[in-house]
Amino acid sequence: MKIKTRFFDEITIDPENVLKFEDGMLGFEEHKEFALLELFEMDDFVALQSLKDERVAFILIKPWNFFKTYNIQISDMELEAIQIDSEKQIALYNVVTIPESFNDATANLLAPIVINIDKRKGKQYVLNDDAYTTRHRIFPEEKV
Amino acid sequence: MLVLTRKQDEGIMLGNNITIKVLGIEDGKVKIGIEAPAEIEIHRQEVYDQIRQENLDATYVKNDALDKLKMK
Repeated sequence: MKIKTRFFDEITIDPENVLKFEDGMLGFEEHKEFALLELFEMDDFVALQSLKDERVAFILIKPWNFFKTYNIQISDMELEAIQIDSEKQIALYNVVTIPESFNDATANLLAPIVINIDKRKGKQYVLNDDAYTTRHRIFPEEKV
Repeated sequence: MLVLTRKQDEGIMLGNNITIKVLGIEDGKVKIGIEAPAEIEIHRQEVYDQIRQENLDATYVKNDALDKLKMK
């Protein structure tokens, strides 16, 4: 199927790869279908593109590429929302916010996105964890 | 919005299976106990608001910041 995207204009994707977010994303609850797209062959970053509105797309990272000690708890009951019954089905991502300077990009470690790879479902979970915030620098500060 | 005034140890029921109780009042702070089925997510409102805002900010990426992704 053809979809319009924020970063790549119109592209073709396999409809089977579409991810269903029953609860949308926080602040974007009406966006229930997304496509996960690679960005420029860099596998550290991917784009989560809403199929409902081409302007709505999030840049995601896999946390352990940047935050080796990221350690979180999400209960089995909460994971049932995306029909997870085995750890092998889980892919974990965090939303990245990029301000004026790309070097100042931050990751939201407080509200990760969990994807059930098998069932093609996803959800943004809000952690009850004081160790994490919505803005963790991805790259070290540049010394001027 | 339904507004109720409760004293310490008084409660509120939402539907059949959610109970909110005032456990203590001190220093301008209210300690609130919530009993709800496990499938109901409970969060501090300001945390939810913060995440909403962060998601919104995250959708504002300038395309030239993205070009840098290629270079990195």
